[in-house]
Amino acid sequence: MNGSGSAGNPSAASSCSLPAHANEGTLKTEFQKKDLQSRESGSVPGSQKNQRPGGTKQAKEKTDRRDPHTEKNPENTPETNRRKAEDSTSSKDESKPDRRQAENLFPDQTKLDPLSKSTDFGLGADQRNLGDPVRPKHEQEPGDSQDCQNHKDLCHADQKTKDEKRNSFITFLTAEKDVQNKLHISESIEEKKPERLQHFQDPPHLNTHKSPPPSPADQKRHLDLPAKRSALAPPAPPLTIEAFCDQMQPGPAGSSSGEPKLCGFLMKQGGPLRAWKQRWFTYEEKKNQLFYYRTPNDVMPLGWVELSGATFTYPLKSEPGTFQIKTPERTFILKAVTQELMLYWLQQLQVKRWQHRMMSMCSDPTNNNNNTADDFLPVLKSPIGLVGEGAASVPMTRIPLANVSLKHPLIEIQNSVHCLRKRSSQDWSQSVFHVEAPPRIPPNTADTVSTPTSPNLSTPSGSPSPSPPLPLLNAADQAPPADGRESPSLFESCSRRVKARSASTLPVRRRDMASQSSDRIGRLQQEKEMLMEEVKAQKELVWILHKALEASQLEKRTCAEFLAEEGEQERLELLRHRERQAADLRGRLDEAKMEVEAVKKSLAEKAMQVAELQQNNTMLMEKNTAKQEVIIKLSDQVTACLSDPRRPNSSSAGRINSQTLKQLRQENNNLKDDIEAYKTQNKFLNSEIYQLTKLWRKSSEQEKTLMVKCAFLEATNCQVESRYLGVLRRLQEIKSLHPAQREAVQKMIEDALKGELKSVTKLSVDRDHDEYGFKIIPDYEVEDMKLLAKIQALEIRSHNLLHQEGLEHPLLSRWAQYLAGRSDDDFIISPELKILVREGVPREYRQRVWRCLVRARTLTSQERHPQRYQQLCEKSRTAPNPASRQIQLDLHRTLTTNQHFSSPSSPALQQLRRILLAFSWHNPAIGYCQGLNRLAALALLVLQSEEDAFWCLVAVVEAIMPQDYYTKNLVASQADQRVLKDFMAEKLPRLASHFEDHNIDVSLITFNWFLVVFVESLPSDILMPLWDAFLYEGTKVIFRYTLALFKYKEDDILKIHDSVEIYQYLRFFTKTVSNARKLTSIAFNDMNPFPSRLLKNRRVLHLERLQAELRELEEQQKEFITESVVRKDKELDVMVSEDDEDL
Amino acid sequence: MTSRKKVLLKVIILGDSGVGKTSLMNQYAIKTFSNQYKATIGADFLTKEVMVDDRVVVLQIWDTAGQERFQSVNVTYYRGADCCVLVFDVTAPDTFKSLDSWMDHFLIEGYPRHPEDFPFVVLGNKIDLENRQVTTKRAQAWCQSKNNIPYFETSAKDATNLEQAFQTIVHNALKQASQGTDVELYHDFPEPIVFGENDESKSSAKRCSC
Repeated sequence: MNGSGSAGNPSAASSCSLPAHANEGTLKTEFQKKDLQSRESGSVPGSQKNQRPGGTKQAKEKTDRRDPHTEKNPENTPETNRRKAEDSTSSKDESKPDRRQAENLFPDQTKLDPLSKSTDFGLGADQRNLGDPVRPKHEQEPGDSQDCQNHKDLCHADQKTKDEKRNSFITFLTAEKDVQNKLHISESIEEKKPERLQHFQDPPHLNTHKSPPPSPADQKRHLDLPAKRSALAPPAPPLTIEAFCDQMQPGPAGSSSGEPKLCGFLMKQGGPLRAWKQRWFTYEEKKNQLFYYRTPNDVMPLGWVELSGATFTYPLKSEPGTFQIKTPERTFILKAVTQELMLYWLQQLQVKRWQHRMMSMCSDPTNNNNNTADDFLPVLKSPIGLVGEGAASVPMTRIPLANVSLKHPLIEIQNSVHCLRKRSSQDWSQSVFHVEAPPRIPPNTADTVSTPTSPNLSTPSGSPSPSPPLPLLNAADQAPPADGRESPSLFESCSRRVKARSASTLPVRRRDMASQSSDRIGRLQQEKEMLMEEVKAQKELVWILHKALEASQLEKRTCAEFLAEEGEQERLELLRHRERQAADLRGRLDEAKMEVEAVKKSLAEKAMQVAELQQNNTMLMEKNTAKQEVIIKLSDQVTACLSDPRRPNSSSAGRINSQTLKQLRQENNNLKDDIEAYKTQNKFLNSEIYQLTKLWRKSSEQEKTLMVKCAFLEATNCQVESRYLGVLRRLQEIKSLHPAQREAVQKMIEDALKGELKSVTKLSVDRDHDEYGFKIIPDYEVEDMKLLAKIQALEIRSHNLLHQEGLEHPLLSRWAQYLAGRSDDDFIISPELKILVREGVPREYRQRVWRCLVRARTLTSQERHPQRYQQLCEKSRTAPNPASRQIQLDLHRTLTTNQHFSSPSSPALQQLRRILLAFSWHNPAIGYCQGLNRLAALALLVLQSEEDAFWCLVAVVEAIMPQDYYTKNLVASQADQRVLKDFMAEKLPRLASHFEDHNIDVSLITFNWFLVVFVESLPSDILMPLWDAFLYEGTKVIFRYTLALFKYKEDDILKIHDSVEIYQYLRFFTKTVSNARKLTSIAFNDMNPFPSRLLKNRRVLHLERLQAELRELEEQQKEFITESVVRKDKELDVMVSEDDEDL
Repeated sequence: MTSRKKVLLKVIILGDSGVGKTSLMNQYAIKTFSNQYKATIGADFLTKEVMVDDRVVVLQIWDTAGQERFQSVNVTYYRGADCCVLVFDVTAPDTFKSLDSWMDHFLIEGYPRHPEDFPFVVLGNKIDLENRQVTTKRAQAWCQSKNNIPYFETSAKDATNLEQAFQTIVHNALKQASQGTDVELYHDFPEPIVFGENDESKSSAKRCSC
């Protein structure tokens, strides 16, 4: 306690910390004046309020357009808050008594403790956290300064700040309901000191004082907000705004959402030197990007990381905290301060990536609550202070150029320019503050002054008046200065002590109003103690005075003695005596002094000795502890040795062992650490893999659904188009159409056909041909059928699109199951296999299944001649074959629309040639028959092997087909046509009679279906399953399918009543069958029963008949030939004669 | 244009394998040519509508398989034919030689009502190729020997003489058809069929002198 007279002259005390407090007297008068004015106007709340909201609104608009960083800029906080404080004071007259009270509670604090400034900040921060969610967005703008011109004394600004500081308290307290609250808050004042930084980030309200007329709607808001806001208002500290800036690291824009924003400092490795640079990273949710800045208050990011396609990992071997974000473009190497922070970042990034993914995918937030970390790693809490907005305030190492990005000079410049701009705006704000502040003061001062309080208010000290409810305290507080009396130093010190104590006890007293009386008692006791002390002092004084009195009395006595002596001699004597006495006394004094010296010396020596001894003692203590440690260690070793019986117990060995043990332990620990690290990494990587898989699965699902959707839409489109074309076709057929209409229809048809079928197929460029090289959409070469053909093509396409995937997966798995534990020779005829084959062999297994089926049918022959095909090939190379001409002729006319056969240089053609030649040697009775080329070609396509294809051909011709199917006259084939007619009459009687009516011979169409088993007559998606069943079941399948085809289109055929048109329709209708499944179903279900015996019997019957007919024909032929010989002679005669005539 | 009943004419094309029957049919009927026609198995057909003197004639052209063993199958197609087109390859003498066989076979199995008068037309195809082996004279001589069968030298690839040949075919087929049951048709048909002047001058050289 230095007693600088702060109690007596508070302004002096505060001026050291708050230079603004200068001349309060002047200020007060002004306040009074203003108050009077406002009262005269009769609308105290309105007059001020009316001016505010407009300004607020305007400011808001301004700030909304600006970067959030600037919004957060804390530079002008004090002023703004002051304004708010003013504002609320002026607007809240009803809270005056409270305010007064509050005013009285705090004065000393404000004055005595410079830190109380910061308590204000703390308070402000606290208050903000408590309630007000709306961030103030006011900002200074250039225009403000003009308004300020109207206002008066610039010099008042300083005073005002002080005043406002006080007022801010008052207003805060008044605004915040009741005394208890106040007490609570004032308690918190003490605790909040460390949080001042937080407060500094509080955005400024610069131009809130600017006052265009407000809208009524704003008034209420204004009433509410600024009142609360005033609570935040710290008194304008003497700090300059620049000083503020230097102190603070303003945080970046906070996210509006509740969850903490993902941002923070990370080290980023980059640049040509691969150096670590500190960067401020912040996650931008909307873009799903991680932006990084050089500092948190930069506007332009140095760059960003696209997270949607990113993967995260972290290497083990590098420094702790290092992790990588891999995007398709590049890899970002980042480093967090700690391992936990890194994990936190990684997890958060995963979460963000997932969230964004989900958001972008389905915009259904309910799906988003996915626990992204899952079972892999516990979700880390954000390390306080290292992540989030708060992290911005972490002082970063300020090496001016260390973190400058070399790669982004432009952004650097932009950022620094922005920073400069901010500075200039700060300057501005300051100027505005200076100029504009005064007019704001009066109302608030007026308020304070207008409330009649104690006369103390008028004292130049400016200390707040004591509140009425606490007279005692106030008496204690204020009495000494109020008396103005020059008290003894002791007393003064006493009073100061009392005052200090009273200040310190203030909170306690306030905490509970009920305990006020006890407090009062305590205070009285204290007072009593002080008085006792005073009494004590007085007593001391009395004692001293007694001593002095004694001495003076002694002196008086000697003087009296001296004066009493009569003679000179005696007087001299007396004097001498006194002299001697004095000398003696002096000597004694010297002696005593010397003694004292000696004693002092010895004392010093003793002290030195003591110190030495203490040193010794500590040394010994240290030694002792060291020894104890050694003992402990040794005993540890002993126990370790004992516990480990393998170790020899000898001391020397034990020591060595213990050393190695230590090393081993160390190593062990290291390894454990490593393991732990690997475990964590493993867990993380697992979670990453899991995450990525999830993302991938989502994407592929999405893709699939989109594909399905696309296919569906395309199919619908095709259907619509085909329907449109159908309508056109109908229109075309209507004879009664007006020529103009007909022309229009014709034009439309032409337009529709112009696109050609290619436009249909173009949609799936990659699937022009199927896996066997067949065109998916067959060609329709017939000109007059083009329209119909296109309609059909569209229908096929739409059907294909709709049934692309269909039921194939269960079928596939069934086949996989069937084939799983089965050798290729194990294809026993079974109902199970029959059903499977009828449903079609999946492409994946077709080659294998066909090979097995072929092998099963040609087993004996293959076993008898293991090298049959090679031998036949050899033979065909050496010996000329009569069939070779026809084979060669047909090679290039085989499966011409198939990719693998369309090119003349295709190797498949040579393979085909070898197969056919080999077959013609193998079966000389047949040699080569046109049609075999197609069979062999198809076999080659599926089996992918010449030899297999050869055996397939053998199987079909020799094992499956009836005898003489391909031999001279093709008798069996022809017989089958008659058999078919029988079946038609039986299974499709309507159609059979329809054909009969129109004189249609079905065999003209169906003959080649049988001969080549539909190769090139049916689209491959029907042909392949047909062949699967054909290879397994035999020729019955051909009948089934033939009948099914007619059945499938029965209604269409029955509609046609012109033989030529029926023929035309039959010529290509097989290629228009789009629903293979339906066809299969008809073939194998609707055509039942289909007994083999019946087929066999009919075949025998018709073959016999046919052979008889053939014999007859042969006879006729012979007859004819003999006839014709005769006729020829005659003709020759005629010809000659005619020639003669001509000549 | 009078809307009289359509006349359906059935034309059958015979000849050895690979002489170009399918190509001829396609070139005439749908005006396309391809090197990649698949070998005809059994038979195939195309229809074409032609106008003959205000009369719509539907021409149904049957293309048959050329391999010999299919001859017996072709019988099915012979029935009801109004004209038979015999095709050979001018670069392949064998195909010319087998014309006799094809003709005989048709006459035996097709049961034409008047075998002597049944209209045949012979086409020497592939004249666009260079290695020609069957001379015009030889072919013409053969045609003459067969009751003056009209003979045309054609190219299915270039459509040379195709129009003229088929006009003759249509003409002869109509004549044949009218000799049958359809008396009405017979009366309506103007005779003789007048070819365009150009056609005549062009084709006269290659047609046999009839």
